[in-house]
Amino acid sequence: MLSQTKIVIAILLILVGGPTSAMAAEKESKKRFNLVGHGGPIKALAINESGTMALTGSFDYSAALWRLDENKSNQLIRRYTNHNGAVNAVKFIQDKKKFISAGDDGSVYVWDLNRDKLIRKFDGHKAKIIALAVSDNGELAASASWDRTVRLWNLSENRPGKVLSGHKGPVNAVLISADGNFAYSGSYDGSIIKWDVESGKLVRTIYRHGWGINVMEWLPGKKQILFGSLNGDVQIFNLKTDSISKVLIPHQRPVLALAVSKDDKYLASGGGDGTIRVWKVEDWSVVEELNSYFGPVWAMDYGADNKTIIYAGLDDFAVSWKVSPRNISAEAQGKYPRRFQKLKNMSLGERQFARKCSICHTLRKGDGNRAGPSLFGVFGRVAGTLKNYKYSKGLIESNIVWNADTIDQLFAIGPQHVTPGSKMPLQKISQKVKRQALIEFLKANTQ
Amino acid sequence: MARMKFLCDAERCIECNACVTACKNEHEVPWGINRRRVVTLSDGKPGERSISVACMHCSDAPCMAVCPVDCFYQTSDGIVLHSKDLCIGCGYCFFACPFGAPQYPQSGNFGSRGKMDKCTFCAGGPEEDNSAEEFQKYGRNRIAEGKLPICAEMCATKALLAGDGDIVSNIYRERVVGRGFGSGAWGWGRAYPGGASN
Repeated sequence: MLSQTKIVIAILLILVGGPTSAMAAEKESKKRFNLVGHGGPIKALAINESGTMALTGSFDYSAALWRLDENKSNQLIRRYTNHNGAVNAVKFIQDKKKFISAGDDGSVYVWDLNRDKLIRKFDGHKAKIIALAVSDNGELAASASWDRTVRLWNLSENRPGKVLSGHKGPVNAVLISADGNFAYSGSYDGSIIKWDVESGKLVRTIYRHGWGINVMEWLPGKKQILFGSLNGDVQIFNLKTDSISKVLIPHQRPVLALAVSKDDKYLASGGGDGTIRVWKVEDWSVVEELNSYFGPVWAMDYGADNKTIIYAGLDDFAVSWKVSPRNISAEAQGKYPRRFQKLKNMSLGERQFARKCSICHTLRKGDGNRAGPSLFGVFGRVAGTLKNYKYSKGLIESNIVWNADTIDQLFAIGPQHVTPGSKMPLQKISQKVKRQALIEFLKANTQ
Repeated sequence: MARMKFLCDAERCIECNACVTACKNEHEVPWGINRRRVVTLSDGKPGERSISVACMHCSDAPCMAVCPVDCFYQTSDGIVLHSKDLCIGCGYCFFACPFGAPQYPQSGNFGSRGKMDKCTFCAGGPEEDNSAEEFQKYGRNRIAEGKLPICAEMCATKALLAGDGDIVSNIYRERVVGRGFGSGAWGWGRAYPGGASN
């Protein structure tokens, strides 16, 4: 029975992404301290000050809480699935009492970890939220959005604060000063702006980098801002001298993640090319560099031992990297394709599924924690009725029965017409031959 | 087949923004989106320079590698295009691109995800060449009309060059020899590593 199950699983893995991609990715994910449990790429990651917990945010529309244990292995505690889009930012509030998360749906969610419930959902942004910041006293939060604004949220009084408008492009990064009186935002427009929290007014543009600012972090003492930009620069802006105080060796690709160790002695920069550089703050020397990983480093943070970095990107799992002493054998060896990147030796229908659907759906029974429901048994199913998947109101109220005709319609004219109000992205397949091939593939592989 | 490329000679760019305006006008690009923009470095300081930036149609395009729904494709002459029917607005290409090329409308029908928009090298999209649908989604297809991108055509100082990569690089090489210095082709090596024909 066990061997039969294994064979079935192997066949399904082949169907979803081919044996090489699925097995290699699964093998890579199983490394001891990796965070395994999301069903999509991971865009956000934060480790609390005491290093006992981690938060992640994923394309699978969820945030996740993890227990970190240096002696055993890291464990998934819970997934938070209230989001209506990918989760791009997560932050702890007061170490481990609360946290906030935000993403593509433009809302900020405040969670109570002790009571394990959603306290408040703040709305207002008109586009996706990319970054969050929380003041040291936990009373104020800020969200940076591609609607070109930063919004402040009063967490102690549970109410929205000021809207900070002035950037000429999407805002990618935000920080709050140590005293909570000022906010600093970095944008695609290449500028870093200082804002007065009380009045919500723009104090001044403190720096014009030219190239877009992707990410910002405080250096110890919160008097210097470390930032990474789209042209690969990693630089430090000193608020006291009002100038760039250090230019570090640039990355070849955009800088997307920064992290400062808990003991304030090291910082790390991660790039779009998968490179992570670790710098010693004392003399700015590069003490370690990771090149073996491939794909972008979208998020990372330091563990409590100050020798471990957990980083995340296109994979469904976050990787635990032992910086010191470095364990080469535990690092990714060579490339492995992701399930949505497999191109060769596929039929037309299989390719349609792999390259257009598999990022959100699985063919297996159970949802696989993906952004969309499992397609297992989809033919004949009434839309919005699969148990254990959090459907949108639009789908729950829909009376569509999925069959060859309705699936063809879904991709011919788009979900906005067939299933209005659903969480499914607006996606069409204009060529009938491709739609038919996809339907035939689904018929053969979802029973 | 020619390999199409952009080159911006920063020694010549005078930040007039004619390329930006011409692009918006030619393609009727909606408010809030600039397929091409001028980036000024060391603004107001010694060594200030400006660079006209858009999608460089990279040889090994990083946007294509991270797209989870396979919406990008590269034409036989190296132009990187995408299908707005397939794009789900996830934003992954925005973070992958070293030129900041992908643009997003500030609101979309799905949550807040709008379809990504970017420079097409004036080559349209997957729809029928010069059809109304192609224009509505991607703008004018000048390549199908036998023309080169409007931004380079409108550049008064010819800082911005577009066309066959071999010809473009030869023009730039002659300029460098003529003026005796040249480090202005920002992004060329990053977009087309391995030489002009790549």
